[in-house]
Amino acid sequence: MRFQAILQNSSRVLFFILSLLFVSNSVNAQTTKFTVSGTIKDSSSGETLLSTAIRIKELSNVGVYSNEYGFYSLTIPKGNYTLVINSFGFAKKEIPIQLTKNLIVNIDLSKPKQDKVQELQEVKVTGTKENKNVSGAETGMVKMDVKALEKIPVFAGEKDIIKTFTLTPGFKTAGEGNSGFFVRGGAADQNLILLDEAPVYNASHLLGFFSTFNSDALKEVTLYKGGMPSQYGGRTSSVLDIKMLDGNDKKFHVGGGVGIISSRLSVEGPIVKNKGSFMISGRRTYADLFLKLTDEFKDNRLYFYDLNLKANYKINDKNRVFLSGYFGQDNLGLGDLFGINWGNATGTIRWNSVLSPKLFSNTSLIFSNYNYKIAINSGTLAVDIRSKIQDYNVKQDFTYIINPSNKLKFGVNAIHHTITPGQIESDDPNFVFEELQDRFAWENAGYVSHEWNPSERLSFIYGLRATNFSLMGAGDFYSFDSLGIVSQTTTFNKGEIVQNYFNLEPRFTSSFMIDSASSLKLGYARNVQNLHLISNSTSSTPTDLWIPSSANVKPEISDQLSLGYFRNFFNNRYELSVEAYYKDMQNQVDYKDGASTIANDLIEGELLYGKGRAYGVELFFKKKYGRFNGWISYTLSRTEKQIDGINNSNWYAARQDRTHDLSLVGIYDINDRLSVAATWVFYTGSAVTFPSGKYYIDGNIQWLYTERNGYRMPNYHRLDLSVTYYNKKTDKFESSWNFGIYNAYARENAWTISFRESETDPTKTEAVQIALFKLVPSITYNFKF
Amino acid sequence: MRNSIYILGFLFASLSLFSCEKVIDIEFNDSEALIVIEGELTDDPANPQTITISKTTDFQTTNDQLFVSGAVVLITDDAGNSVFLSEASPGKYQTTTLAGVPGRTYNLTVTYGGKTYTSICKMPVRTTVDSLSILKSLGFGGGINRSVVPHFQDPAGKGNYYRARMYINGEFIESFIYDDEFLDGNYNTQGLQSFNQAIKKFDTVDVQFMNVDKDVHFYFESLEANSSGPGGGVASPANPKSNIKGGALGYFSAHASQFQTIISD
Repeated sequence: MRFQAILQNSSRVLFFILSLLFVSNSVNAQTTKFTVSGTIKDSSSGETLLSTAIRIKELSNVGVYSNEYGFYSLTIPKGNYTLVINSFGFAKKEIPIQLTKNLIVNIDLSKPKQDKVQELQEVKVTGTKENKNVSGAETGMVKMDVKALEKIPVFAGEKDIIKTFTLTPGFKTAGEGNSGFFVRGGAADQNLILLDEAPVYNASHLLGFFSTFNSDALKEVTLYKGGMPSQYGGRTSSVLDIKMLDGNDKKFHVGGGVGIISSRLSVEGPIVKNKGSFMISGRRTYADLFLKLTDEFKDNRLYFYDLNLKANYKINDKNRVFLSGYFGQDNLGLGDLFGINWGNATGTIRWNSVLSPKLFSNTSLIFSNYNYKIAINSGTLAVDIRSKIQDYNVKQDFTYIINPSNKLKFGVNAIHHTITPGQIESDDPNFVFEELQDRFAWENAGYVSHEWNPSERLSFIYGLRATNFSLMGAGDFYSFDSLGIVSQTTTFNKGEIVQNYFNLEPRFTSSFMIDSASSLKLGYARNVQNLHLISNSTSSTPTDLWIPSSANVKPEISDQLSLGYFRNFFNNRYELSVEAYYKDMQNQVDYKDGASTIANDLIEGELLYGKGRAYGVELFFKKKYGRFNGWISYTLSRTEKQIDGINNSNWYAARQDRTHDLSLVGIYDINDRLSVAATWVFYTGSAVTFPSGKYYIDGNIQWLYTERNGYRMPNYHRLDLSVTYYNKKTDKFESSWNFGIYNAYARENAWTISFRESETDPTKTEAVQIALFKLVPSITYNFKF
Repeated sequence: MRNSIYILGFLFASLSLFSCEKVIDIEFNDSEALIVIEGELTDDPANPQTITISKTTDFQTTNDQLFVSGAVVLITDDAGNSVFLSEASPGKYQTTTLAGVPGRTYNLTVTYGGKTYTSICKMPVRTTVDSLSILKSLGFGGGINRSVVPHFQDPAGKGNYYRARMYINGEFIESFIYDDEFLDGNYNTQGLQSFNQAIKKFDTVDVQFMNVDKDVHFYFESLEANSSGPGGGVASPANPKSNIKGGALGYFSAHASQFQTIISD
């Protein structure tokens, strides 16, 4: 029965896709047209260039962007034309073509001569690329050029893509010592983080002080805060799509950095010149080596390492294969007493194929494994707690570029999840640990998305994603009564569907150009999430538990509406955007007061369900070019939840609620060799639960809580400074020094606040704040040859 | 599990060699005073049955347990016994005429200020502790940690809940709870170790060992879960789930109780 339902749903989706295809095709059956297509690359490194504009000189307003693999395709009436590619950071290129048949034109862009960089920046830029922020239909999207991270000061001199995004509006840090982030009121688990298409479940190192992404290995990062295109799905709040570098297919290069906390090393080069390349980048922290010098901490382990690998090979003009992998591991511990290890491993095999000049295909096989282990040795008992999520993922995506104003993307995706929840193991024969059950699920999706530019002023991207989530046996599944006690246990066999959820997720974004420099954008997106993170901790610890949707836990659904005004000034040198959003969230999960989330097979009985809402306004003003550049980002927002059983079922501030969030970023290039930068951040303290009273149990003082999240942490602010000095560059070798100070005016920002009997006056109780990191200096030496 | 949170906190502290701690001012909300009932009824005839009643206070008032006088406290059982307790000292309501019997179900009724609070608890069967021993293990920085092990055979079948109070040299140090979730049917070798005070050589260690019922166990488990350690800490602490109905805090525990003593070596 249930299997039939899945089939039925799938065929519904397929029919929808086919009908859309058909409609678009019929639009196209007109005069003689031919297609010019190919790949755009950086001539010095062979890296494909993504989202690069290609225009036709002879036809005003005809142009396309290269896709996420650098592929472009333009279908226009036959004739003689000139392709124009004027991309920032590259010399302008014009290529004449005779379009009397379908053509393949691969484009290599070269960097301008060093002394011309400044000149280029002053050139009047009229190319479409320069105002894509205004003209593109995407709303709530931020692209981050990884190179731009270089000068922005960061903690311990470790460039960090996630930390840098927190300086942009709507994207908020989950707190110091936490790589988690909140996007437009979403929780930390509601962000889809993709590294070369593989989902990353825990994006933090060292309990969150660093993110898992080594920026040396990254090419481009795109964040969708709202109106995400329909090829993405699975999380309700945002998509962070991270693409790794392909590796230089012309020459070997070695790059790296030595810092006080960690060192990095990358090697890239051709496998077969101009045909294939590889890139390997590794990182290792060594804070633990300092600990070894102290008597008290000498047995401690405290480090992480990670490794990014990528290789690609161009079989011919039409086919290219990619292999990418990530492996990272954290190891923390105190002698034999206590240890935490966790790690992510991902692997992606991709095959790009140009099926026809208009039809581009990408097939991916993705593996993702996230595991953690906690070892506790209390002296009398040694136990290990293990947890794991393992995904096998198959994806087929097509891009059908019908003509310059119509592009269709469609595809299917199937993921198989295996979730091992907090299994406890011990060698002690006196302790019998019940085998917790692995959970299995299929998450299948089909999508179609149409990008349509009906006129110069209007553009649309709209689409639909259909997801089918099936929780599978084998295993025992529980029903709970209102008190959270098991009322019924049902046993399912392997391959049986326990619970099935089918959801449709419509997506829509549009932009209307008011004039050549300003636009209005409107976006709507529904997102559905079937894996939920259960955490009762203020910091991102690996003990946080992922659970699948089930009969008890319904899929989380968010509907977001956003409206934006975008304006560029002075030839796109300044950009301003104002975006407002409203997000409605259903089936939000929270735990009961006093819930036990560790090693609990009956965790679903500890949960409560309710709804959420988030709304806000984001302001962004940026000076893009010039000796002095930088931005101001401000968010005014509110995020609330209403859950039966919490705070008398009234709306209350969610943990991620922050009224104000302000970031200032300034970079000043004193000369070609010396650059200084500063960032200042301010945000309202998070909503927290503090006691309002006290009482005694067994002679010990206890705190009386009156409401959840009824208090605020103190406001947070911090100034970071950095200086980058570039050593004289030779043809063979370039290097730079980076000096930084984190928290330059030594603000004591509250990391935790706890309560105790006063140490000075035992008749009183007091609140104690712990602050981390005042004035942390850093030195990093970076090199490349 | 709390130990691991403490260790995690310790780890954080070692991570942040730059961290600093200070006392801060917070504007606390006023709270409505609630009744707190600590009810213990044992099968030990040596001690009177005692129900302690106090009140909550605002966070910033001085640390005094505000005892509640003048409450009417009644205990009945399923064998037809019924006793009103008398107030021996302010807030302490006692009786010596009611003997606790394992297997019997007890009802507590407290009436105060026009409100009635009730609770039901069945006294579990006693699990005999054969002896205590001191277990030594290596601690951080090379020191020796001592823990005290109550030796007992857990009865087969899950659902046995234990609570223990540890006293060092006659002074109450800490109470512990555990269950047979992972111990079921086995002989216990797990020790009790307090982070409040270490057991030293030649200390006299007394352990009160109690068989408690499930709700009482859950009460102390959630009490423990909500006491935030240094660093990390729970995101949403809450009041523990009481087995007393009517809006009071605290617990009513009818338990089988026994004492054992050991001198640390």
